[in-house]
Amino acid sequence: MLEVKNIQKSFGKLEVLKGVDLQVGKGDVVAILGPSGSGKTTLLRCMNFLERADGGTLVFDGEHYDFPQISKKDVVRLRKKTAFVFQDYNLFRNKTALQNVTEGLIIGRKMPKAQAVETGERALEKVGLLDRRDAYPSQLSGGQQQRVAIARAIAVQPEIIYFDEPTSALDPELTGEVLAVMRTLADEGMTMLVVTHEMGFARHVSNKVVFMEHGEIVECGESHSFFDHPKQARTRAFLQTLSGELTHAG
Amino acid sequence: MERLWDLCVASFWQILIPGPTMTIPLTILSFAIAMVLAVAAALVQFARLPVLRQIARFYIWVIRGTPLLVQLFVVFFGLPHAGILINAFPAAVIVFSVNQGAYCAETVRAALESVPAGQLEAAECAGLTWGQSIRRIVLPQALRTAFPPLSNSLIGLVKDTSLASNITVVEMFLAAQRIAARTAEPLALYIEVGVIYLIFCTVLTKLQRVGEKRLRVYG
Repeated sequence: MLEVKNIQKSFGKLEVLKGVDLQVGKGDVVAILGPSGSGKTTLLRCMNFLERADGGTLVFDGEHYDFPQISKKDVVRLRKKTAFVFQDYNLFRNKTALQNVTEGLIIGRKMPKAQAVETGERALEKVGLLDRRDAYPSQLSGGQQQRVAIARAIAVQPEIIYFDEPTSALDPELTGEVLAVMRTLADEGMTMLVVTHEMGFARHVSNKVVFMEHGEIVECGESHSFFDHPKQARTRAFLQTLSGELTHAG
Repeated sequence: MERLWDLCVASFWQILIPGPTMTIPLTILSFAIAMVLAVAAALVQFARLPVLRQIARFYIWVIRGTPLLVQLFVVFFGLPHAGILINAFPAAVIVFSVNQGAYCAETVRAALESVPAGQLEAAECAGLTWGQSIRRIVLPQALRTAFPPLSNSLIGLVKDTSLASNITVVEMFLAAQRIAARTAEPLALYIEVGVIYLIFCTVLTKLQRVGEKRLRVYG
């Protein structure tokens, strides 16, 4: 469904992505792991054109695009097939929870308002926040805001949702509610690409794991074999340092 | 003393009447046009549009770097020598709106930049075009931030309109000046017109407070 080839990105002299390849099939839940500064977030942002990659190609639904040359029109069109969940939620501060969800439907996709409201309410119900539909982001907790952000993502019925460290900005006691929503989505067959530090999620919810370091993919594979039989020494070392967290999360 | 008081009472309406007929229309019209100029000049900079951005910078540089009074004189007394004749009121509107536009452009630009980048990114990821994202998400938030400093500019403009007296616009200050000349009581008359400006600005200050309260709905 989605394939990225040889994606490259530098910020000044710093090479952040050194030619990364990635394949995501329909219904895949891919966890991207790696230490800070490994380029995971940049990879995700380049894939949705929030950063312009210096090189590489994207195949989406059989259509080929060159990252550096893609037109604004194609970017807008492709973004309508995807959704993005940010680390710090980025809910529209001047819109209520429901308006946050319907904005992309009414304005982005020209859906009639009544239908958009209905779709939006269903999405909020799914994340358990229908009763907060008229609340502004400032009136919601971090966990609630992120759940609204997920509702905003699913309401547009995207082919894939990108998650950029969706629980990193949350207090530990609030991560559970967000992960639970993500697990439900995964169970329903939503295609998801998740940059995360949540080893429990990577191990038990995702079916594929990609491990990145220094702008390159060190290892990728099925999640159980990745965790049970890591092939690369670097992966083993990484998992070792997290083993405390692993036993805790697992 | 009693004579002075009577003079003030008698002249009060004569000074006040140019308020609603001249000072207020001049202020509202100029500020409305200024806002359009300000948002446009701020947006082309925010969007980093190559040529337009430089034009905006040039416009702000020239206008902020020259006195308002000089600008009024250039347009009203200077341009006729180049064959461009503009009546006093429209000349004042042009100068005040272009002048305020330059200052407000900086206010709006700063407010646009204060909106977290994630707001624009989230809007674009939701399938909105850049223009839609700005209009529906970024600009409303920016204008809320800009509201107090823009109110400041509006209050400043009310008082600056008194400079239009120099190009024959009969607004409140010129009305007071004429009475002062006729009665030879400059102190009383100029204090009186000052008080009238103060009343106008007090109303605006109150309105600003109401406006800020309403804008606070989303916390």
